[in-house]
Parts: sequence; C-alpha cells; structure tokens
Amino acid sequence: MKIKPGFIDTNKNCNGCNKCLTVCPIPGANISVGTGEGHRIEVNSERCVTCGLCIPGCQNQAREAVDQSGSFLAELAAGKKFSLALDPALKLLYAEELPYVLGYLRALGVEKIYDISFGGDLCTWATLTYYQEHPEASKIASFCPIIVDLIEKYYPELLPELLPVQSPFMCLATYVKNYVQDKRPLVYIGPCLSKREELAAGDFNLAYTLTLDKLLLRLQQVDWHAYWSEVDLRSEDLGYLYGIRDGINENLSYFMPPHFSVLLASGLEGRRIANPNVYKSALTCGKVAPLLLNIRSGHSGCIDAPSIPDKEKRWTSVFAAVKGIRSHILTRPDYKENYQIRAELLAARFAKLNPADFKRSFTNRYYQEPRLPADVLEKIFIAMGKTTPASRKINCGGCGYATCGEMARAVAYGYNQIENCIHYATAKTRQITYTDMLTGIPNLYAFKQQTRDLFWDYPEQKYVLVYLDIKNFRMVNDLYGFAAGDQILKAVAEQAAAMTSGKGTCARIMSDHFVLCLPDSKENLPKILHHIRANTKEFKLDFPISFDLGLYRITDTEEPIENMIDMARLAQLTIKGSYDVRWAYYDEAMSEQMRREAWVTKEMRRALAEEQFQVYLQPQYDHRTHKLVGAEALVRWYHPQRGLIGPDEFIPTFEKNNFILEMDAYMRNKVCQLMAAWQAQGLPLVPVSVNLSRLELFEETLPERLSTLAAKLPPQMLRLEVTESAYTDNPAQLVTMIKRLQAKGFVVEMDDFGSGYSSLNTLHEMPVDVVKLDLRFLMGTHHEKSRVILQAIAGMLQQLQLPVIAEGVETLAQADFLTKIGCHVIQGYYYAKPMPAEQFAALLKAQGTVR
Amino acid sequence: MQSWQGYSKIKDVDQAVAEACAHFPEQPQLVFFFSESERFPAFTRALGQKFAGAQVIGASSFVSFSPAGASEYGLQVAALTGLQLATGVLRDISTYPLKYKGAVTAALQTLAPSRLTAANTCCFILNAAGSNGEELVLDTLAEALEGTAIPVCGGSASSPAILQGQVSLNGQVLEDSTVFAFLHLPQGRIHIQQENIFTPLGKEFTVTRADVVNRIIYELDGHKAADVLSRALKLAPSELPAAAALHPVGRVDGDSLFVSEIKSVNQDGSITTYCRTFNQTRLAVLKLADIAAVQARTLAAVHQQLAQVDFSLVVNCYSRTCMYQKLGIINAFARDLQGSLGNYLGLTSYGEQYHTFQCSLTMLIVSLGAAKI
Ligand code: SF4
Ligand code: SF4
Ligand code: SF4
Repeated sequence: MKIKPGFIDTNKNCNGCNKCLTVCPIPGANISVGTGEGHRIEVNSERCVTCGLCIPGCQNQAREAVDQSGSFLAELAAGKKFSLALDPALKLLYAEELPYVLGYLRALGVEKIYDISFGGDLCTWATLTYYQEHPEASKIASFCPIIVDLIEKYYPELLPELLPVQSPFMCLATYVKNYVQDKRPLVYIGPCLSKREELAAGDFNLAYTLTLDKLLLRLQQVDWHAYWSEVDLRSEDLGYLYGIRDGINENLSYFMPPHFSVLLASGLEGRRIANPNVYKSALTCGKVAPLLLNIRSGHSGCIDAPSIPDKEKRWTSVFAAVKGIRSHILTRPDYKENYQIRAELLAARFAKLNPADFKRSFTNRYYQEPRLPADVLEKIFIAMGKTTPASRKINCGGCGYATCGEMARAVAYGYNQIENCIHYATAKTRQITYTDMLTGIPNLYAFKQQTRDLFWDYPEQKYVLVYLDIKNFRMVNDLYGFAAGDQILKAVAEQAAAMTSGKGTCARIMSDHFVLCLPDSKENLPKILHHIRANTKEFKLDFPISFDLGLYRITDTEEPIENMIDMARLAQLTIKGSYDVRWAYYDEAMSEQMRREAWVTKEMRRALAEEQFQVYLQPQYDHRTHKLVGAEALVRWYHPQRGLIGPDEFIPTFEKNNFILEMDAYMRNKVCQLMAAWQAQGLPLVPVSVNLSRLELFEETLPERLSTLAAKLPPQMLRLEVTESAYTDNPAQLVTMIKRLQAKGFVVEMDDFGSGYSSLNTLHEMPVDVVKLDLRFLMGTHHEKSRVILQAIAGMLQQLQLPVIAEGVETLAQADFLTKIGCHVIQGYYYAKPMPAEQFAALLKAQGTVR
Repeated sequence: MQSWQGYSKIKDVDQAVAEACAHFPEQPQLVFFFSESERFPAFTRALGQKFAGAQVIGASSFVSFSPAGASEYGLQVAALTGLQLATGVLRDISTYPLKYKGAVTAALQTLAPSRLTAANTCCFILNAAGSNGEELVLDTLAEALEGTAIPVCGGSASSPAILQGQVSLNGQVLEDSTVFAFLHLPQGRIHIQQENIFTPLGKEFTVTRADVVNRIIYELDGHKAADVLSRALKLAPSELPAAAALHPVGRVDGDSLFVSEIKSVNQDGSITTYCRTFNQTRLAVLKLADIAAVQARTLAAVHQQLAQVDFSLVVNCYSRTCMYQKLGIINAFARDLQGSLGNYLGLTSYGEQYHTFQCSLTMLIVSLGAAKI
C-alpha cells in the first residue's frame, strides 16, 4: 500500500499502540507500516477525511495536523501579502487573545482580516434563497467539510441529497474574490483541519491552513499583547454561531418559517457514520419537509474540533461569547419582527449579490470496495493462526479493530499486517521462546520448565537425564553442507520427541546437542541406542553417524535442571574410543576430575609467571657402554601449596586448552638456557630432546624461531620430538616442515612410536632422524607376543637405518633384550629417573659424552 | 438455436453492414459484432438501426476472429435466434458499478431465474477497457447473482491504442460501462472453456504487500517483488521486464490457476499486473506450455461437454493475440477454432473474466449447443 501524505500526520512518538485505529471512522485511513522493531500507523490521505478524531485519540501525542505556521510567518516576513479568514469559532474560543494576535499579524503585513462569520450570514442568505426556490426540499447540510468529504468518498448515494449551497467559509472566499476583488492569497486560521479539502472544490486561492494554537506556539517569544486589531469584515447577524452545536438551526430558524426543521444527526462520533439509508429515509419523510439534516462531525460543533487542546478550559469563554452575540440580537429592533421581515432585511443586505455565485456542486470520489473472496479471507485467518471459529471471534480489539474479521480484511487490503494481531504475536513469541526453531522440539528454556512439571506430576518415578551429542556432526556439515546437517538434526529431534512422547521431555539445547529426560528403566537406554542408530541411516552418508550419550541418574528431583544437564554432559565428555553409539553414566569421579581440571586451568598462568614449572631431565644411556648419550627434558610443577604435581595431572588439561603451546615454548627456552650455561661452564653436552606440539608444526616461522633460540648451541644438541599423530593432520606440510628443521641442523625424533596410531606408512614417509619406542605401550601383558612385535619393529627400523631410543625401560632384562635386538640407547628408571637440572649437570660433569 | 455469421472489409460502414448481414434473418434476437475501434461507433449506430428489434451488442477489438480468419480491420458479426436473453448495462465501472446492481437483478427476473442453471445459462459481459473496473464489475455480478449458479464470463474490449476498447448496446456506445447479456438455452447447453497456455514453474510466493485497488504488488515473501521474480527466473533485475511477458504470475486457488500478466516492472521494485491481487494470497510464477497441445486439449474439452456446438464466443487475450501474430500462427489459430467450433465470433480482449476472477493471457470459449444425452 502506498501512503499518500496529507494534512494529518504521524510523528516520531508513534509506538504502534493502535489506538488511532480504534477511534478512526474510516477503514484504511490508517496504515500499519513495519519499522523493523515493530510497527507504526501512518495516515493515508486518500482515505482519511481529516476529521482529526485520532489527534486526541492518540495518547502518545503522535498524531498532529501538519503545522504550516512557520512557512506562513516566513513568507509574511519576506513581504508576501496575505488576507486572513478567521473561523467563527475563534471569537468564541479565544475572545481574549484574538484581537492582540491579529494586531501583531497586521503589523507583520497582513492586509485584510475577514471573519468567516460574515460568510455565515451569506450562507444563511444563500440557503434561504435555495429554500425559496425549493420550498419542499429536504437536504443534508453541506457546511461541514468533513461530512462533505465523507459523503463524497464513502456515501455516494447521499451526494444528491447534499444542499448545493456553499459553506460559510466558501461563501466568504467567494465574496472576497468576486465582490471585494481581493486577490491576495487567503490564510485560514481556525480549528477545522478540513478547510484545505473544502476550498479545493472551488477556484480559490488558499495559501495556508493554520490552527491558532500552533501559531501561538510559534509566537511564544513575541509580545503580541502590545498590538491590537479589529477584523475588516464580520457577521452582523448570527454568523458566529455557525461554530456551535446547533448554530445552523439558530441561524436558519431566525429567518425561516416555523415548519422548517433542522435536524441534528450523529456523524463521526461513533466508529462509523450511520447507515446512509437512515439519513435517506429521514430526508424523504414528507411530513417534516422542508428539512435540513445537519450531520455533525464533532459533538458540540466546530468549537469541539479535535485539533483544539484543552478545549474544556475554554468553555467559559465560549458561553460568554455566545451569550453576548445572542443578547446583541435580542436587543436589535428587528428581533421583534416576524421571520419574514427578518428574511427580507437579510435579503436586502445582500441584494447586490448573485445567489448563483454561492451555489456549489459535489464530486463523486467513491471507489467501490473490492469484494474479498471467501478463500482469501480463509487463508488470512489460517495465516493468523485462527483455525477455529472461536479463534476468529476473539475480538479483543488489540489490533485496533473491533473484530478479528475486520482485522483479517484489513490484512487482505494491505492496511495492516498479520503480526499486529496480539494473539498471533503472543503465540509467535511463545513459540520462539519455547521452541527450537530448526527442529520444532522444545528448547532449553522449555525443557527446564517441562522437566520440572514432569517431576511434579510423577513424583515416584525415577528418571535419567541423557545428554546426546552427534559426534561427527561437523563432518556432515563440512562434507555434505548445512542442509544435510539440518536434516540430521531434524531426524534426531523427531526421534527424541517420539521416544519421550507422553513419558519424558526432550530439547535441542545447542548445535548438535540434545537432552532427554526419560524414566530410568532398563529398556530405555537400548531403545535410545536402537532408534537413533536405525533412523539416521537414510541420509545416504558415506560414514555412519555416531552418538555420544552421557547419562545422569536423577536422585534428587529438586536439584537444578542445569546441574543435571551438566552432569550428563560431563559423563558424555568422558567417552573415548571409536564411533557408533557410545554412552557413559555419570559418577562422582567425573566431578572430581572436572574440579581438578578447573583448578589447573585457573592456576596455570600464574604458575608460568611465577616459574613454578621446572625442567627435569631424564638421561639416556648406551646400554652397551653404559655411557650417558642424551636426555629428554620433562616438566615438573612445584606448586607453593600443593607441592610437586605430576605431569599426568596437568598435561591433559594443558592439551585440552592449548596451554601446552606456551608450556612447550617455555620448556625449550629453559633447556636452551641450561645447555648454554653448561657449555659456558665447559661441560660436555649431550643432545636433549624437547617437545614440539602438533599445532606449532604448522607455524611457518618455526625453524627460524628455533634457530634464534638455540643460536649459542650446536643445533644437533637440540632434538625435537614430534608425535606420530601429527602426521595425520597434514602429512605434506609436516614433511616439508621436518625437512626445513633438519636443514637448520636440528635432529627430529618421532616420539611415542607404537603408542596406538602407528602406521608403517608414517615411518616410511616422515623423514625423521630418530625413532623413540615407548616400552610402556609396547610391552603388554603377554610378554612373549610383545617381544616378537618389538623384535619385528626393531628389525624394520634397522633396515631403514633409523636410530632408536627405547624409553620406559625399567629392568635390566628389558635393557638387555632391547640391546640384543638392536635398540641400545635406553631411557628409563632402570638407568635413572627424571632429575633436576643441577643433578643432571653433575652427571655430565662426571661422565663425559659419547658421540 | 440458430446462428448466422458474416464479415466485411468494405470501407463504407453501411455497405459493410449490408455485406456482412446479407444472409441474416430479418428479426434476429441477438446480434454480436466486433470491429476495429475507429469505425466502432459508426457500426454501433448502423447495426442498432438495422436490427432495432434485436439486442445488438458490440465491442471494439484489436484483432477480431471468425471463420473468415483473423483481422485487424473490418466488421465481424453474428446473429442468433432460438435462445432466451436479457441484457443490461453496468455504468461507472471504474468506481461504482454496484450502484447498478438493480439492472442485473431486473434482467435476471425476466428469465424465470428458477430454471437457470450453470449448464444452460451464462452471463456474458463486455467491458469498456481502461478503467481497471473489471473486478468491480465481477464483484457487482457476484453480489447480484448470489444464490444462483450462473457463471459469469467475458472480456474487455480492445484497440491498437492501449486500453481504449469500446462497448455498445443497441446503437449506443457506452463509456465506463459493461454490457451484460444473460444467455439461456432452455433446451440446450452452454459450456465455458478456459484455456491457459501457461503452467506453473514450480515457484510460489506469498503476497506480503500489495495495493489491491491499483493492482500493484510491492512484496513477495517480504522482499521486493521484482527481486523475487528475477531470482526465481534466474535473471538480472534489468532483464525482468523483457521476460515478464513469457512469465506471468498466477493466483493458485486449489486446482485452478488464474493468470495475471505483468503490466510493468516499476522503479521501486514493485510490479503492476492486469489483475487485482490481495495480500496473503499465493502467487505462482508461470512458464509457457506447449501451445498446440494445450489448444488441442481445450477444443477437445468443448466437444466432450457438448453433443453439438451451434455457436461460440471466443475471448482471446491481447497478449496472446500479439504472441500468435509474432509466431505467425494467428490465422492458423482462427482456422483451428473454425475447424473445431464451426460458427464463432472472437474478440481480442484486455483481460478476461471468468466466475469472480479477472485474468489475462487466457482464452475463454463460450459455446452454445446441445447437451450430451
Ligand atoms: S494512537 Fe496511532 S499514531 Fe498514536 S501512538 Fe498509537 S498507533 Fe501511533
Ligand atoms: S483524521 Fe479522522 S479519518 Fe483521518 S486518520 Fe484520523 S481519525 Fe481517521
Ligand atoms: S485476536 Fe487479533 S485480530 Fe482478533 S481482535 Fe484481537 S488482536 Fe485483533
């Protein structure tokens, strides 16, 4: 709907409260416009009849008449000449201020000031003339431009019934133009907002339409009390009374025969003008002819116009003024005469005028309202969520319309939007608040409430809370796209809903994480595993979807639901191993582990800053000669309160939170410092192995950084340990990096060979210089088998001419065996435990080196 | 029911009327005629005078069709007897035809309404073009015919100058008006066949902002209509106006599709169509189907319904006529109609009306004949 701006405007105060819709008598005069955050209501001047009812109707002061006083004063100041036409209501409402303001305006350059009450006298005379020509006519008064606008636009059947006589304002404008020959543009000042529309009907030169209040507001800084002016033309009869409720009657009955009636009818006070046929039948009721039906727009006439603020405060002024006018008439000599003589006097007064000049015609501006097909209305109701007869009759008025049907029609015509139905919006908000939009199952918020209700309803039942994580979900998104991922989420949600239907609750709480609360029974777990596994096969993926389920047995239903979810999540996080459906029940140790990790995470940075981490070195010996040939640097944490903390307690956490990177860098730094110091002391150096984490291996500048770090050392003295698992990430890049490190002179060791990820391919393709075998992984419980495997590995490494270091060697038998199969460099408790740097320096000093 | 048909290309109006009506009976009941718009008022007068005792209904037509072929110039006229009819006029169709609803109900009363069924009666209308008033006319007829099963069908008059089609009744050219005629065959059958040569492309949208009265669609699914359509058609927005002729939109109502041609793609991203669209209705983007196959089906459907076709009125959309001219199949089209329907009179229309819908890019065939037993 395109909105045509007009004389009534919506300002920025509008908050979309819809009140204006409630008071407006014209469907489609108010149009809802989306603002992004909500909506506001604009006025569509094509349909608006400028009745102004929405001005006081809007409690946010968002509705106002367009203020033209600024432009008027500016033009006046620039020397443009105007004549003023004052509404008769002004003298009644603003009797005190008016002469002063007029004086000021005259001082500014206004040439002529006409009171429309003079037009009132003319209008009375023209009406009289009409009735003389049509003594039996029954007509509708055409003096209120709002009513004329209303009839022209909406009730064309009444057009022929309108009195073809100009209104007081039009009569004045005609008189000024034709008889006074004043060609200056007219400026209307008064409470009526529809004067622009009225004069548009004739060939008049109306420049501005102003309300006195807005004008006074502009003149706030001016001392207009210092000025004074009378008007140049005004009523000599009852013309002023056109501004009050029964003014037409008072004017006409003064001059018309007693059987002439003026009938007051309600106009726009309700939401609708009464059925036009009512007026029609009133008009054709022969008994009362001649008749003038006065359909009033405001309850008390023009003095009651909605544009006047605080008008009740001015009632005293109105009463006084009206009383004054009436008593003036009462004291006139012609008052004593009969109506005919009075009419003759009036006719004599305007004898020189041509009555034809004061006639008017009307324009049919009606457009038949498009008929709304029943199916369109039905679709709109459905779109509004109104699927039952009752829901279509809520008629709460929240949207501004009296009925849901009216609202639906407004939607069809584009006057309003479905979102503005309060019930629709509430349902939508509820849906958004409680539902996971992707899958349609409850969200976390709803889950918490529903689970609480479940516990309340079945207090005896034992429940288990399941935390479900789709393990390789990211892979689905990466390989098959988000749409495929969404399909899987929807399928899982559907299954979760089916499994919990009627007996439990479920929700998607984020990404690929779901929670279910089910009765804790033997059957439920297998059921979950079976269902979830079976129903995801249909997605034509090249790999099976795997699920991790963390289960938390609820022992205390009063416990916060968040806690229960945390526990189940914790259990889920502990699951390790390969795919399919895996599960773990929560136990206390998990919480303990979590607390430990939390403590480590909290303490680690401070520990680094305070140098609580210390370098320990575990020597490596040639078992054939028992000489010291190298060492591995290992970290130890001396906490001021907790003492020595073993690496098993903190390394896994460091790996999880990536602090391991800082830790490794710290260790390398310290090792280089130590070796440089030993070198400076003249101690014979042996190579020391330090860790390189997987992530670091992909840093472009790593070789350069390490070279700088070990600048004072022979580079082969620093051995860099790379785990075999690093190879799986990006083999090509890793191979390049190893070669670059070797080019800088560093020795690269493959650490933990045989720890689980080994593949002969890795060995073949990773160009390492040394391989470290970890006996803890390789020596299983079946010693014989382990020995055979070890022998095979050793043989293979020999053939590849790769030197080997065996770590984790604890006994002489192990050392002898390893030496026999070709692995003679031994690291382990058999020779020495990891030791502080000072102790290791002493060893260096004592033993010398073997190259 | 009997029908006579004639045409003339003679320049002189009286001579043309004489030639075209040479074999007509003295007192036909109903005379339909179509001609080019320049001489339409003169034909209106001449035929009105010649058949003063008959109901004479005419419309200007950019191209008229008859068994003689398709022609942009000349008079095509048909005379009918043996039917019951009532005619009338709706005026002020651009603003308020409802005011004349009484003319419809009065006409209906003359035909013994209780005997009128959807199978033996129709309300055929011809509208003066250029007022966007067709839908108001349909609304008026819907209201006036409420409770009856009488189907409404017809078209808007056309001329080469866009939207200046004229209509006339009994010797008077009527501005801003619709001429309606209730055609009733007490013993026969009337069948209305609608043809769409467009078919859904598989993309449907909800109208979320539309100016119903001015037939403007601003938004589809909450986005600018032109953007949505150009995306649906995989076109740059600048290519949309050219493609719009081949891709009208259609209102989906159950199984029925009411085609609406895109009149213009506007600067502000809205589109103006030839038909009214309400907010929250579903619109489908359409594509051209196999014209020949569709036409064969249409004509076969007429014969499926009627044992014998005595006379047909054909209403063919202006854009279809233009398309057939461009494709060079306009005369073949006229011949096909003659071959299948026999006597018929065809109008090129600025909009076709069927039931309560104003459509475009459509053909309507209103066939009068004998029912199958
Ligand atoms: S009454 Fe209307 S204009 Fe005023 S704030 Fe409410 S919606 Fe806005
Ligand atoms: S001025 Fe009157 S008609 Fe116009 S929007 Fe306000 S209430 Fe409605
Ligand atoms: S339920 Fe909605 S449409 Fe009905 S009256 Fe209330 S707000 Fe308006």
